[in-house]
Amino acid sequence: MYPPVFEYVRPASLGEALRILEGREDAAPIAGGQSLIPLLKLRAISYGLLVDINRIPELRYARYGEVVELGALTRHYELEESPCPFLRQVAVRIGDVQIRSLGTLGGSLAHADPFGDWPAAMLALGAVVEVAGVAGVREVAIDDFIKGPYSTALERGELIVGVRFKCPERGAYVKFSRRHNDFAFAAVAVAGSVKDGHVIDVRIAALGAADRPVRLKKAEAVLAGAPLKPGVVAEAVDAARKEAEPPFDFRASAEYRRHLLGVALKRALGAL
Amino acid sequence: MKYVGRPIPRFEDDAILSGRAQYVDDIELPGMLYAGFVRSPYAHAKVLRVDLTDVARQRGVVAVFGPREMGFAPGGKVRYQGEAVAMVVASDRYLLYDTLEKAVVEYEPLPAVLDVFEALKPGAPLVDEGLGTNVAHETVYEGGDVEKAMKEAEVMLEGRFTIQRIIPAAMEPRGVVASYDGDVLTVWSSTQVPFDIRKEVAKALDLPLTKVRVIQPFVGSAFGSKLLVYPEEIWVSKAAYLLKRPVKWIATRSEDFKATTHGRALTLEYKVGATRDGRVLAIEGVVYADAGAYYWGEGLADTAARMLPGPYDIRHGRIKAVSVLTNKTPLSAYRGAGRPEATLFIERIMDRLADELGLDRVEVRRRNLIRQLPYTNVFGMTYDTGDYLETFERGLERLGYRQLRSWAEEEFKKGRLIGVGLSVYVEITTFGYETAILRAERDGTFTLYTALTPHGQGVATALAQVVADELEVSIESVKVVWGDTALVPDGIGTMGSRSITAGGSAAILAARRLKDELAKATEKLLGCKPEYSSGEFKCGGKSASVRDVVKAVYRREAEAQLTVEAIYHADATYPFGVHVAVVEVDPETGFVKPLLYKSYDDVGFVVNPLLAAGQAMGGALQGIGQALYEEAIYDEAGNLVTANLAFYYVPTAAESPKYEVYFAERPHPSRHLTGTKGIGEAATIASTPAVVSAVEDALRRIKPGVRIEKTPVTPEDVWHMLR
Amino acid sequence: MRISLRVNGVLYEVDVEPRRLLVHVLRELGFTSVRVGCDTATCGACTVLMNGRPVKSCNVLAVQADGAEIYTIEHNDEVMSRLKESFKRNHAAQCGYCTSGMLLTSYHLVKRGVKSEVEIVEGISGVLCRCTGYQNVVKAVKEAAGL
Repeated sequence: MYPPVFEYVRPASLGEALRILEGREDAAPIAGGQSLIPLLKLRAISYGLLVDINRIPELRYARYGEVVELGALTRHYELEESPCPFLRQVAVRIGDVQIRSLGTLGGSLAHADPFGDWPAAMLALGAVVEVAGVAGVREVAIDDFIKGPYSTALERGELIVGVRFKCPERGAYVKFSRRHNDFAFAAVAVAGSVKDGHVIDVRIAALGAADRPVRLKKAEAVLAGAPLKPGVVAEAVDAARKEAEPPFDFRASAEYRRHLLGVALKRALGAL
Repeated sequence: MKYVGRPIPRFEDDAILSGRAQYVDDIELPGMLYAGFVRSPYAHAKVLRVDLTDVARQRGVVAVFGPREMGFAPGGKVRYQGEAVAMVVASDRYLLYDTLEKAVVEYEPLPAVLDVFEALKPGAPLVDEGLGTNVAHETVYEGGDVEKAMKEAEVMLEGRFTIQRIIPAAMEPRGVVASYDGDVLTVWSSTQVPFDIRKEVAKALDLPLTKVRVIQPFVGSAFGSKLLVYPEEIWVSKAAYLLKRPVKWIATRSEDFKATTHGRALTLEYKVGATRDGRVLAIEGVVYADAGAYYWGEGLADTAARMLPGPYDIRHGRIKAVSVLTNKTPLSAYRGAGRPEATLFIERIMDRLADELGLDRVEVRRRNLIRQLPYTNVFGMTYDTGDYLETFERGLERLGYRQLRSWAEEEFKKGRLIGVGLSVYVEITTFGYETAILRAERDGTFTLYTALTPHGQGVATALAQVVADELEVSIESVKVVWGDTALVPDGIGTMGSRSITAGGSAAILAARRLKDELAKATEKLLGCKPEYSSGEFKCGGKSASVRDVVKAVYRREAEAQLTVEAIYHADATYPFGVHVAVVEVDPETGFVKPLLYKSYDDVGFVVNPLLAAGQAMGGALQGIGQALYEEAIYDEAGNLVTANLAFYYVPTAAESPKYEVYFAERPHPSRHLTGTKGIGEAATIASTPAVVSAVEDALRRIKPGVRIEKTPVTPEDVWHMLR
Repeated sequence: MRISLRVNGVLYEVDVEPRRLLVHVLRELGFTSVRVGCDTATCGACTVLMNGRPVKSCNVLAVQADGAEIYTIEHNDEVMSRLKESFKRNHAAQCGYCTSGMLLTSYHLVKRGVKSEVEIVEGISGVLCRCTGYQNVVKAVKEAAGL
């Protein structure tokens, strides 16, 4: 298919990009383009101006210290070999090798697909999203960042600079999709640590549990400080199924998604 | 020097692997224009007004055609989502898609009918008012004495099995290029039927056949979805003829999903009478086809009905085949076209009968298999050659069916849920005539022009093998050319697993005739009656090579036809086989993973085992796709929900099982010159029932009595069954 | 907008509208081995290597590729030639429409030293093939990779 007409600029710095985005009501940033371009091709969306942020050096970094800091332009494939094992688990479940070559972490968060893998993972990590606008930089907790399906806390003209989080001591990502690495029917990301057989600081995020990636807070509450034993896991699974309000479509019913969420959580906890 | 039977890699690969293979979209001509269609968003609607005045004014637009000019929306209405209502021709494809959005079409939506059984109810919306009913076609096939047999039956089974709609999804969407130079209209199309297109285009434009040339370039597969002459092929030809400019139309994938025929979509309601020891006495029922908006897929329900008895000796039967119009994309052939459905139906019935009687699934088949060939089934289909029982037993042995079952048993004890399924099939292949033209070249090589229309099968290589053997020459000295109506006067094409049987036999016939011709010339040249062997004629201690003879003809030293034509008529033949599928079920999620697929086929002689195995593996995955993944889903308004490859689950490499392909050690050849029976569809036919049976087998380990009565078997279905 | 692309080692400079997709620009340059099979970046028939990584060229704006090093299947180095021979020997192509995508994802696998069949399956899973059932493709890549 053939995208509609748009103008195109390729700023070399973050400041320049922000000024352009601020100045044009009909402008949108493009990073890897792996979600944006299909929508343009199907003419489901259109913009007057695309601002190509791929060559902005400020958005390209990866720092692994006590805190992990990743720039918005970090490509999925780069995280397949990340020093943080949890990121590796998530990265390899995204699309296919070609998509992972170009798709970016920042793009995935900004697009906020209801079945996006990174939004779920970042929720589980409790990441902080660094957002820049002409007025300056602000930080948004991931829980406040994802507002709804395809909807985020980004204001017009703002860009994601990067994310910051601690690499979890334990983490697991379990995803059920119809075909290998297709969009999830349901997926669960768990991050936390285990001390003396007890779960600590656990955060659970899910796809297919709402109209957007969400935390499963009731399940978290069950697990907090509890021993990682079958009875506790079963209780957490029950809680997760109860708190979930899964969407339905031709792929899967809400009821089936609810069931799968429980299985995904059980398996994720088993893999911690 | 014997090529038939050897795994010769394909000549076709050189063009593909070098990147030089030319598909229809690769054809660019000076002054090329690009056509696109405005298509209905509604499944059923009156077309009140088509206003293209704004479109015609847009940058790059060369011509617009409405319903009046091209006959879009016959009867002033559209019958399915995606039906064309207008055509735009522009100088650039990007501009074309800008302008298509600007067409003004006023519709008055009508209630759509999307389900066969709804469509049959009195008062249902009519897809074709002129017909006065939604039943497009209905025939009853009958044989024996059903009433009497049913009375004698000790066991009765009744049920219904539903097969989903499939989108063939050839990797290359359809496309056409047409160019008129003032004398000849040349049409390139991604098609299986250039000869049919030639006839239809000539008719539509009132041209003699000599003024229409249709070329089939490389075609990115078809699976039966390119064996009709499509309206776009006529419309694009007409536009090129009127505009005297080359015009190209290439379907986008989303467009192709609606504008290219779908497959399968049959439902069987059945009643089966059997003895207590598992012999089926009679079968009775109705096969319904969800035919879509136009009855293009003639005979799909009928083939399924007539092949329903399969390889089993069932002496009494009555099946009604009903094709029902609905507001969906028209239904037509998809790899197997009626036989996969028949096989799935009867194999499900056999599994069910075994279960009801507490018999082994193998045993119930053994008891019912036809004992003596040739055999005319209850609906008049005459199966030609074979020894079904022996092939069945040897097949099971070769495929290690028993061992696989015990292995599944062992694995179950270790906590894995494995299912092993089997299916037996007999199918019908081959029909009609095929044409071959063979030419002796000056250097002693040969060019074969075939009317076959290969699109991935490796037919050209297989034909070269057959001809090289017949002429006793090296395979490198035989060049096979296909896909051009200017080179062969008429033919049918590659479909229905007929290529080598029909077209290969035509090639053998042509080779024999050419040898005769050259022998006549040689007789004059050498003065004695020669014997032919390995490219040489010999008699009376003298010899002449083919090259010598051809040169002699050009030098007026002898006379012969250096180009001969053969038209071969190839009646139906019937491959038979037994296939085994192994799947693993995740009982918690319902996900099914195909692990292993094994086939054992008696397809007569195998010309090229490398290519035949390719057909078996690829064919199997298509049947597995039908069993587990694929389904064309429409919403209540008649919108195609699975509208592109992101939503329609064509299996990836990760869903594919491992394959083991075997051919009968003692094949039963057809009566055709090649002795082949066809391998193109066998695995597609056998794999769906084998996989469904395997899934059921697995599920029954933890939930006895579970029965699968539809395809696809989705993870959610499995989950429901296990609850 | 004027962009430059180095395709199989040769530098091209072309004027493109920003909306033009890389696949169309490559095809217009004569690289018709790069094929279009879908409109959702699902099928992988348009796969090329861009700066050493497989990408779907129908899902890249040509302007984004400005300055990039592109390989198509016409990049006949030793690894590509080995793969092509192996594809032919193992009957890994049927209709040929997805074959460019298969060859280029396989090339990437072999180049980076693929070690297992599982990796091969994962590596080609972004290219849909409707003909082969994939086994011969996997076998061809294994052979070319010396596995």
